[in-house]
Amino acid sequence: MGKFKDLLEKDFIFLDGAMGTMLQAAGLKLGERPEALCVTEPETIKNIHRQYINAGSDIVYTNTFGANSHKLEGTGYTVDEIITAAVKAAKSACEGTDTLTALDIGPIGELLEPSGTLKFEEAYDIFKEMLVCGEKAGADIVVFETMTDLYEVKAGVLAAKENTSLPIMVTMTFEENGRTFTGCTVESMACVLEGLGVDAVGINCSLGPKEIFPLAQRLACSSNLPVVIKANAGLPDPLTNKYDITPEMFGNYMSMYSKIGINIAGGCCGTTPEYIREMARAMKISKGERERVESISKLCTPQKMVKITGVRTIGERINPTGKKRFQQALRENDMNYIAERAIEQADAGADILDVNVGLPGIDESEMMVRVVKTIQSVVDLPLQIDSSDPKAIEAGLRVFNGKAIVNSVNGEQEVMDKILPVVKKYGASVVGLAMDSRGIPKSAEERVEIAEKILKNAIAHGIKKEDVFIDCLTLTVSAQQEQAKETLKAVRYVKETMGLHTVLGVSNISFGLPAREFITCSFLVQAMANGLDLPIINPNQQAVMDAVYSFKVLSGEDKDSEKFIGRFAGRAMQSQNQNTNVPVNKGISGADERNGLFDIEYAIAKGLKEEAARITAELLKTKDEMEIINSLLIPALDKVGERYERQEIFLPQLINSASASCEAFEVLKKSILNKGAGSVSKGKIILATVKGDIHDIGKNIVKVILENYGYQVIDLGRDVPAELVVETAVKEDVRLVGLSALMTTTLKSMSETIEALRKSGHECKIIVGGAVLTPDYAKQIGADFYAKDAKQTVDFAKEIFG
Amino acid sequence: MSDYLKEINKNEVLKYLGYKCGKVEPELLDDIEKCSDEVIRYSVPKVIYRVFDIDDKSFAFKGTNFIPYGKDIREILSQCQKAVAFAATIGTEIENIIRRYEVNNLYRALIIDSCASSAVENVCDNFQNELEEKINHMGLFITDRFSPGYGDMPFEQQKDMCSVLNTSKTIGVCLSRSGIMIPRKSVTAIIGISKEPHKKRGKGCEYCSMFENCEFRKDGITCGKI
Repeated sequence: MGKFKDLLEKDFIFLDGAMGTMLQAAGLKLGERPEALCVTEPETIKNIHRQYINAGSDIVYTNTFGANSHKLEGTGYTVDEIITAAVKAAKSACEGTDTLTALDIGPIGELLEPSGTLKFEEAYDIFKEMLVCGEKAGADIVVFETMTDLYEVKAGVLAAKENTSLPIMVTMTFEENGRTFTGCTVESMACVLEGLGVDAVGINCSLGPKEIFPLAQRLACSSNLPVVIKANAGLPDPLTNKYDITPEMFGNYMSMYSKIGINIAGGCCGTTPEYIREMARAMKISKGERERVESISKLCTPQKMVKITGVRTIGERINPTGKKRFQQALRENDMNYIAERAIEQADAGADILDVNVGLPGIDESEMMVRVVKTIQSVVDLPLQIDSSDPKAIEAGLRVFNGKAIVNSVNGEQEVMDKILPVVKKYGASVVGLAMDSRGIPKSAEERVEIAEKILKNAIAHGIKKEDVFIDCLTLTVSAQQEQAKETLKAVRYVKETMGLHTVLGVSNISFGLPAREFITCSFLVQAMANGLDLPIINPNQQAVMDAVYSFKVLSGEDKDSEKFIGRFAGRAMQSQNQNTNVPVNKGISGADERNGLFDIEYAIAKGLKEEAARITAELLKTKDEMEIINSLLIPALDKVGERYERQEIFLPQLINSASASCEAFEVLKKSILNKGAGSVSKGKIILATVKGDIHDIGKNIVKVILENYGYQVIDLGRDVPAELVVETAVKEDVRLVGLSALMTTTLKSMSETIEALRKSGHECKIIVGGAVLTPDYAKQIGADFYAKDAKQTVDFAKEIFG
Repeated sequence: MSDYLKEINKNEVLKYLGYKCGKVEPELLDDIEKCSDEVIRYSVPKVIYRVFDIDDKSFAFKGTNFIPYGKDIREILSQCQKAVAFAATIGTEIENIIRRYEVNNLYRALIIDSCASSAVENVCDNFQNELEEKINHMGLFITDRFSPGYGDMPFEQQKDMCSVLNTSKTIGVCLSRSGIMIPRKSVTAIIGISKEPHKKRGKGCEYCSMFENCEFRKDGITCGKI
C-alpha cells in the first residue's frame, strides 16, 4: 500500500499501453490465450514491460488479463503457474526502477446471474484465487480492468479487500451511450466503488480518447477518487484490425484529460510504447486541478441513480409482518410472489424498496440473500435492507448490486458497534432510529439528542454525514395523540439544524382509526413540509402517491408540474376507458351476472385478469374454495385446453387464460389463509430447468398451467444442479418431478438429473420436456413421460395425483 | 449500428408463437406490434466481424486458431478464398425485460421473446445485405451464412468463434459453461467470399439441427430460415 500511496503524491502516474497488441504484432494468433506466454516466453513479456517502462510507465500491468480458472480451463496451465510467472516477468522488468507491478485482472468471461449462470459467490472465489497468487508473487497493486458488470467488479473488490492488502484500481469499459454492455452508468460505478473503498476508479478500452472524454468528465464530477483513463488508439477497422489515431494525436487528446485534473493514464488496445511516450509528454505540459465534487446523498443500482434531492419514496410491501400471504410465500420459497411485489411497487412509482424477510422459523440471512437476488433480477431500484440482525444485514448488503440503505441502527452503543462497521464495509447509507434501550423518547429534543449521538458514531466509523438518515419515529396517533407533533418537530430540527435527511414509516400513524388513508396522507404531507425526505409508504395506495406528487409540485421539484400532469392525464383517460369497456365486454359475452359459471368461464377464456379476480371474490360469498376450483375453474381451463389441442387457439391465448385463472387462484389462496384452513394443493410438483440451461419461458408456462389445476409447484428456477432437485424431492416428499432443457448441450444434464433421482431411491415419477427432446430420447434417458406441451403435463399430473 | 434493426417480421413471430395457419386475432397482431416496438426500442444491436483468408486445404482461418469442422460448412467454403466470421446480438436489456415480464405477464414475455428472436435474425439479415453490397462492389460474391449447430457443424464451435471475435469484449457476448451465448438473443455465423457467384444452397430442412424434432416440419411446412 505504501508504495502506491507514495506514487499518488506525484503529479502524474503513467500506466502502460496494450499488451495484446504487442503480442499480436509478435505473432500471437486470434483466439489464442496470451497468458501462456508468461510461462513459455517470459523474455518476450519482460521485454514488452521493459519497453513501456522506458517510455515512462510508473505502473505496468501483468500479462494476466484472462488468467482465471474459467479461461485457463483446458490450457494445461494453473492460475498459480501463470500468475507467478507473469508477476515475475513484470517485476524483473521493473528491477532498478521505481515502476510498480499491477496484477491485471479482466472479466471472468462468463456472465453473472441473473443474465448468466455464474453465481456471485463463484465469481468471488475465482478472483480470490488470482489475488492470493498475485500478492504472494509480489504484485504491488491490483487492477480490475475492462469490466462491464459492476456486480462482477464487486465480487472482485471484496475478494481483494478480504484476502489481500493490495491497493485496488478499477476501470470499466463503456459504450458511447455512457453505459457498459450490462447497462451500468459511469455515475453508478463511481458511487458503488467509492463506497467499497477502492483507491482509484476509471475507464478503459472500447473507445478512443476523444470518445471517452465526455464520460471521463462525468466521472470526474461524480467522485473525489483519483480517476484512471486507458483509452484505445482510436477505433478499429474491421477489415484490417488497425486503430485509427497516431501517437501524436493520442497525446493531444490525452492533454485534455490532464487539463481537468485527471492524472493517471495509459493506453489500451492498439497503443504501443510510442503512444505512452507521447501521452506522458503532452499531459505534463497541461496540468490542471480536479474540481471538488459536492456531497449529495445517493443510492443506486448499476442502471439507476437515486439522488436524495427531494422526496424519494421507500416502498414497504416486501415485509411479512401482518401479511399471511407474504409469510406463506417466504415459507414456501415462492420467489415469484416476492418478485411480483417488487415489480408492482416499482410500477407504482417507488424510488427505493425496503426488504424485510424476518420470520420465525426462517433463516433470515439465507432468505435475505435469496430475496435480494430475486428482486434485483426484476427491478433496478436501490434497496433498503431492513433487519436488526447484523448477519442478515451483511448477507443482504454483500449480494446487493448497488448502493443500499441499512434500516437500521438506534442509539444503543452495542447496536451501533455491531452494525456501523458493516455499513461502512459495504459503502451503504444507514437509517438511525431516534431511540435507544430506554425506548422512544417522549420529546423531540431527546430524539434529536440520540440522532446526534448516532451521527457522531457513524462519522467515527468512517461513514460520511450524507449517508446518515434519521428516523424520528411515527407513533400511532390514536394511542398517543400528543406525539404526532413531537415527531414533526424532531424531523424539522434534524433536517434544518443537523442537515441530515429523514426517514419515517408513515402508515403507522393511522393504526386503529377508521378511514386511515386520510390520516396517513395528512400526516405524510405535514411531515414532508417539515423536511421528511424518505417516507416509507405503500406506493400501491393511490392517495399516498398522489400526495407525494402534489408535494413535489408545491416544493418546486416537479418543474412545470410535468410529472403531476402526466400522472393525472393518464388517470383521466383510464377511467374513461374503464367506463366504456365494461358494458362492451358484457355485451359480447352475453354473460349473466347471476350465473357464476358462465362468467368465470368467459373471463378465463378471454384472459380477463381483473374480471376473473372480481368474479371469484363474488363467488366466495356462496361457494367454498374447493368447489370453485373443481366445478368452475378447472372445467373452464379444460375447455381452453381442448381448444388449444384442436389448434383453435394458440400459446398466447392459452397463457392469457392461464394468467386470468391465476388471479382467481390468488383470491382463493388468500381466502383460505385468512380462514386459517389448510391449502388448496392437490399435490406437490417440482419444476426445474436443468443445470447449464437458462431458457425458462417454457418451464414457466408449464408452471402456471399446473398451478391453475391446483397443484403446488416448487419452482427451482433455471440452471438447477441435480443435487438440488434430489434434495428438494426428498425433503418435500415430492412424487412428480418435471425437468426442462432446451439445448442439445444440456440434455446431458437432464439425463444426469434423472440418474441422480433414481439413485437416491426416492420414489417419484419424472416428466421431461423441451424443444430438442423426443419421446424416444425421453425414454432412453429414463424419464417416465415426455410431454410436448403444458397440456400434456397436466394430463400426466392428473394420472399421478388423480 | 442501430440501423441493423429496423423492423421485426410479424410472420416469423407468429411462427415462433406456434401459429401454423388460420386466422390470427386482431388483438394478438396488435400486441405483437406493441411488443415489436418495445423490442426495437430496447435493443442495442451490435455486430462484430472480421475477414480472414482461408487455407484451401485445412480450411483454417489464417491468423487465428480457428478451423471450421463438418462437411457442410466446408462445402460452402470450398470455392472461397476468404470468409467473414461475425457475431451479432441485440443486448442484455431485452433479457431483463423478458425476465421481468416472466414474473407478472407471461403472455407478454412470450411474445417479446419471440419478437427478440426474430429481431436478432433481422440484424443478421441486414448485416449480410450490407456486406453483400460491399463485396459485390469489389467484384466478389458471398455465400449463405452458416452457424455452428447448423447441419453437421458442431455447436461447440460457437465457443471458438466467440473467442476469435473476442465477443465478450467487442459486443458483450459471453458463453455460459454449457456453451449458451448470453445475452441469449445472439448469433455467430460464417459467410464465405468467392470470386465466382456462389450457388446459394438449396434451402432445405435436412441441413437443420432441428431436423428430427421440428414442429413445423411435422406439419409439413418450414420455418423459412434454412
